[in-house]
Amino acid sequence: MTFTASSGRIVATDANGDVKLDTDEGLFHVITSLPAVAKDIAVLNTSTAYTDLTTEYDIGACHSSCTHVVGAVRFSGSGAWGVAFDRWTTYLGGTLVWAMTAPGLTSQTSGDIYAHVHTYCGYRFFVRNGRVVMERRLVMPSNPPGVWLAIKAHTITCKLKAGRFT
Amino acid sequence: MTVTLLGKGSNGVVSIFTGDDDLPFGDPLNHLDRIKFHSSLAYPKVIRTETRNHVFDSYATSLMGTFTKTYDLFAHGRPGQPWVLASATIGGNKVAFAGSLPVQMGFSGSTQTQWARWVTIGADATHVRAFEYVVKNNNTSMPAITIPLTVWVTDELL
Repeated sequence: MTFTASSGRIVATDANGDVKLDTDEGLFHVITSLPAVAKDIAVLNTSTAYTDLTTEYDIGACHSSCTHVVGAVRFSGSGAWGVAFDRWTTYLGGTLVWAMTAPGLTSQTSGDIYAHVHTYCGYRFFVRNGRVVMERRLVMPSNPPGVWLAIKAHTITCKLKAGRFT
Repeated sequence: MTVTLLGKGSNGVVSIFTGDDDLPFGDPLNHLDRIKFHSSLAYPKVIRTETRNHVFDSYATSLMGTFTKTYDLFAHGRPGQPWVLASATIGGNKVAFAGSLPVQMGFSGSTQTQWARWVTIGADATHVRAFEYVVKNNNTSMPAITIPLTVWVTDELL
């Protein structure tokens, strides 16, 4: 291990010359480990109107300096929907697709993706003002004649950590 | 900018911070913008790296709807549930598993896509697993796909 400190910079390298610490690079500091929390999401049925919802769920408090959320989440409940049903899924940012259905899914024709994806439900996490927030984005069509759809009830268990880079 | 490495044997605290005073050493949470390292904070470290070419299954033409499937990748051997990171090589590019990762989508030559596959990755108390979510109609079959995966197991237990 080599340790150098000069010109306002500290660098530690291992025996192979790989840099293990460089103060000119930002480390990710895990500052808040939130207690595990489970959010029960109620069933949502289609109605005569188009459904277009953005819903926020409070997950817990974190240090006000935190900017990023990482960890793992687990979806469970009635019905085998979602990418990671009844399994733990790593969360490293991005959006977790819980449901996406459509007659044709997408289209080669520009703009048609909005017409063909008729149901979408996804979740993402972010930090705002010292709180970790889970946001659900949900879109469903209005009821076709004689048919109704539902996003089934499900539970999302979260084991998350909040931190920041400096 | 001044960078200071300070450690105290009396309390076992070690920190690297910037600036001209020692305030981040004793009160890191109120001086996070000056902290480069502090032993009271957590830093996930990769303690194991696994690479493999994983085959995600094919789907027959007759299958229509949404489908989920779990693939066991390996036993992680950690004394709890670790936080794992991963990437997939898609189209020659390594893409991080941040959220649901679209890995495969197909056309029949008409105007509409016939199927698509998203993958996520995670770990429970014993194994690292990949999960897929497939949306498909019954106009065509969906081929299997082999995806090079890299999984990093961290020392961070959830």
